[in-house]
Amino acid sequence: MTPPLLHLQKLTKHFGGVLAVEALDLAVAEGQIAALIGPNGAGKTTVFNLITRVLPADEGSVHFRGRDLSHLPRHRIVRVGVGRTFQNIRLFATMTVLEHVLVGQNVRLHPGWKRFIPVEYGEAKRRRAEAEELLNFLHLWERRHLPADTLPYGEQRRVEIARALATRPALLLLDEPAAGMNPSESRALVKLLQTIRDRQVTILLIEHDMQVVMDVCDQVTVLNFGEKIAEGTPSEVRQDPRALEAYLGHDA
Amino acid sequence: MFSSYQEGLLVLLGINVLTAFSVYSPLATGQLSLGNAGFMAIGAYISAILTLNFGVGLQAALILGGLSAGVSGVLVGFPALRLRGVFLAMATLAFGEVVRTIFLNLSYTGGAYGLRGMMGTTLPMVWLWVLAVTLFFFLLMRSPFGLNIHATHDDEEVGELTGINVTRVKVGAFGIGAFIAGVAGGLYAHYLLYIEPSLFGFLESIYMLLYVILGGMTTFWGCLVGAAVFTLLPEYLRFLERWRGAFFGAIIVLMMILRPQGLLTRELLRLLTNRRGPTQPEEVPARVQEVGE
Ligand SMILES: Nc1ncnc2c1ncn2[C@@H]1O[C@H](COP(=O)(O)OP(=O)(O)OP(=O)(O)O)[C@@H](O)[C@H]1O
Ligand SMILES: [Mg+2]
Repeated sequence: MTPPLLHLQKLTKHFGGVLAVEALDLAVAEGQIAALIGPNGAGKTTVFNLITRVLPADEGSVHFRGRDLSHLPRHRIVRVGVGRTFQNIRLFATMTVLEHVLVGQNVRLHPGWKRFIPVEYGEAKRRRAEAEELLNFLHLWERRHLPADTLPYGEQRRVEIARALATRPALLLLDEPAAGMNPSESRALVKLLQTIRDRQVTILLIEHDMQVVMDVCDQVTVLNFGEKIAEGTPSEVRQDPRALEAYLGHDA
Repeated sequence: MFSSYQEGLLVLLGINVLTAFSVYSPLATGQLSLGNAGFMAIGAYISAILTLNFGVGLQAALILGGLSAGVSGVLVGFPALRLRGVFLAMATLAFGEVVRTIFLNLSYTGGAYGLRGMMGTTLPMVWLWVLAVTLFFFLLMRSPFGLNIHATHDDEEVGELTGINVTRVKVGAFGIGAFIAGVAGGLYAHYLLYIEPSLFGFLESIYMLLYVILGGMTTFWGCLVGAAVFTLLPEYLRFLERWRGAFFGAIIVLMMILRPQGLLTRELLRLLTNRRGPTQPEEVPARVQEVGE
């Protein structure tokens, strides 16, 4: 068996007296769309913050492609192939949509003097072609010269995804991508997630919209008070009594 | 071509533009430095000592003075990483005062009396430096590194998670700014013919910051505009005599109320340079809203 792309072992995080994540084991195989679900305050976002080293873990480890991420500086996380978005959209307030993609592309520049050449020269052709392809893919090309934070909510979410994809991640962490979307927008999101997966990007998403989770995920992990209470395919989890009690009861 | 009064004014203007750039550089990454008069002093004293005591040529002395300031800037930049906002402003202000006090007490640099007899700064020389530094920022801010500077300014944490080595960007920007302040100090020293510690008080640092804020701190072009307004306007306000300071203060307050983002902004430049103008949300067909459908 090939080792999982992402492997969390005994991952633990306290905030004072609050046990936000408790000895969490989680494996995501390459090519999957996996979901992390659970009620508000269950510790889902904290798991993302531990993976991307926004927060240090108290205990446990994060392995990506068999490599321990626990001691990497934050800016190297994306270089090894983990990109993410944020629950509360976090865009660069003074930058255009296109600039968000260009910043994402910067990760793949080789160190040295090339990073001081204006983006119009040097590797401009390749960068621009890539940016155009990516922005077309996310239906943002017409918006490229607009300041990203003037866009409507749904488009801002896609700018975040574009910025993360521009780094060419192997794993994309999406924190509640469907939040605030209407049913037709979430259906579009489901399609988008599938096409992203078809681009060889593994996805781990946090999502409250059960329709999205049931439609698109291969594997679901349910958290409650930081603890994993159920795991399996969407249909398995839908029938799990503990998961139903904690979370799904009113929704599924 | 110019009267000596005009020439003097233009030399000062050029030097002020350089000092504005020196504040802009760290500010573009979100770091507020109020210690740039200190870097300017380092450049001024080092270059003056080199030309006076060691017979070094002026250009070489300017660059060495700039490098000394730049190295101090990098050294200050590292501890500055831990400080934000007002705390960083206070710490850099203290740095500037420490530098001034050191020169005040050093007999080698003439103490309070300072150094005399430097010369050689000419109007074309100053403006060649201004041109070079402007060109530098023109290229830098369009480079990947420049994009990383903007991103670091907007959100450091997200910048890091997009792969930016924020430490390098911030310390680098601090060092670049200090280098430019050092060169400006060297030009100033060799224009005034003398330097003394009192020329590099914290009020100088405040002025440099005002040029940037007034000109607009989201684009480096603001440095040119801000320094020009701030240097030339007082000259045209001479008729106000003793009320000049008050009038000037009132203008600053008005600016902060009417146009707090400064005279020039990146959005404004985008509008001016993008011939087609930015695409407005309304122009996009509604179906674009639905991804993948
Ligand atoms: N940086 C922090 N400092 C202190 N407490 C925190 C911090 N981040 C999260 N917490 C706490 O940890 C717990 C888990 O929070 P987390 O944000 O991970 O939940 P979540 O599952 O993402 O919830 P939601 O569905 O509301 O986004 C909560 O009790 C929260 O208050
Ligand atoms: Mg959350």
